[in-house]
Amino acid sequence: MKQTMPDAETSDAELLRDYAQGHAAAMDRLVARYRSALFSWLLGMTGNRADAEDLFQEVWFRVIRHAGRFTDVSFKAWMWKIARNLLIDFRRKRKPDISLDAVEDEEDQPLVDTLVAKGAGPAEAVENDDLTRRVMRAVGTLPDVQREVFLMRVQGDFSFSEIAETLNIPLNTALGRMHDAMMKLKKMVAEEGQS
Amino acid sequence: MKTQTACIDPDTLEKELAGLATLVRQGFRLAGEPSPEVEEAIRQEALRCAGGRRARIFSPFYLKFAAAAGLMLLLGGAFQLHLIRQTGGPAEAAGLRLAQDAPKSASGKTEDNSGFAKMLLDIQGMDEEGYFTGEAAEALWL
Repeated sequence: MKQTMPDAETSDAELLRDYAQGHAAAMDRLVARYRSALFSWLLGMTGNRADAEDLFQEVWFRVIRHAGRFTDVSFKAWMWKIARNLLIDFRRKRKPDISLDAVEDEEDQPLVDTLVAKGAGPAEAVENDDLTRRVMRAVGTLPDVQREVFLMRVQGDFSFSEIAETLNIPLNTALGRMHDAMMKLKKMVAEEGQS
Repeated sequence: MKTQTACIDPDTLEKELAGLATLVRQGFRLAGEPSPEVEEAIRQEALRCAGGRRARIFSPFYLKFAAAAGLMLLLGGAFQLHLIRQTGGPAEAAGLRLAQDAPKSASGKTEDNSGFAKMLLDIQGMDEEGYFTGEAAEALWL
């Protein structure tokens, strides 16, 4: 019988290799490992839950179907490249420009409203989420290239060199985009707070 | 005009990011995770594809391939055995090598130990056949 190591000790590549050899449980562990990070990134990039869920599912379907072809050094970077390509295709086909406030139809709930709807209670939502709400609104207005880098660092927990490698850009460009994103966010949050 | 970007220190960026990142993470935590339906769909797809991979291992093609590989190994082994028998085998070759490596005298000839022993016996007036069957030996038997 196959020995299973504690989750933290098993690398992504090992889990993917196990899955490619027919062990379905290995994929569950991989999904659990990146569920929050990937979904948050997609939610931040698409601006609504329905599209984020569609893309999230499609990313994992591709990972599952192409598990045997994985040859990259980093699984996370490989998966993010898949996610990014799917996002680009999705935007080409459906929506040319999306912000976190955008609502396409009644079923699509903008991210800022989703935050309040998912909060623990109305009192908490008012007290605790005002600043969060302002920050999230500001994140939604960032240009795509800056938002992508910002969310990869904050939600995906990528290092700047990993971001540069995954997006195929120079390190200084990644740092510059992050710097610009943060300057804009600070400015926007301050302005919203005053008004 | 191209924007001029000064060299940015990643450590300084990280320090500035700390407070902002906490709020952003909190925001996404409140936004929740993918729905159980989506996660179930992923799990089902993973099971389906993993099942397919397992099934391929036991497919008729793989089984035929394994049988053919086994047969090839068997035939190869039999052929090698046949070759060894025809050429005399490794044991004979090893014997030949030992004979070649035997100690040699200063003149370069292989020492003949039995001849040397016979010579010693001759000097003492004895011979190999008579030495062990003489009267002294008979007395010992009695």
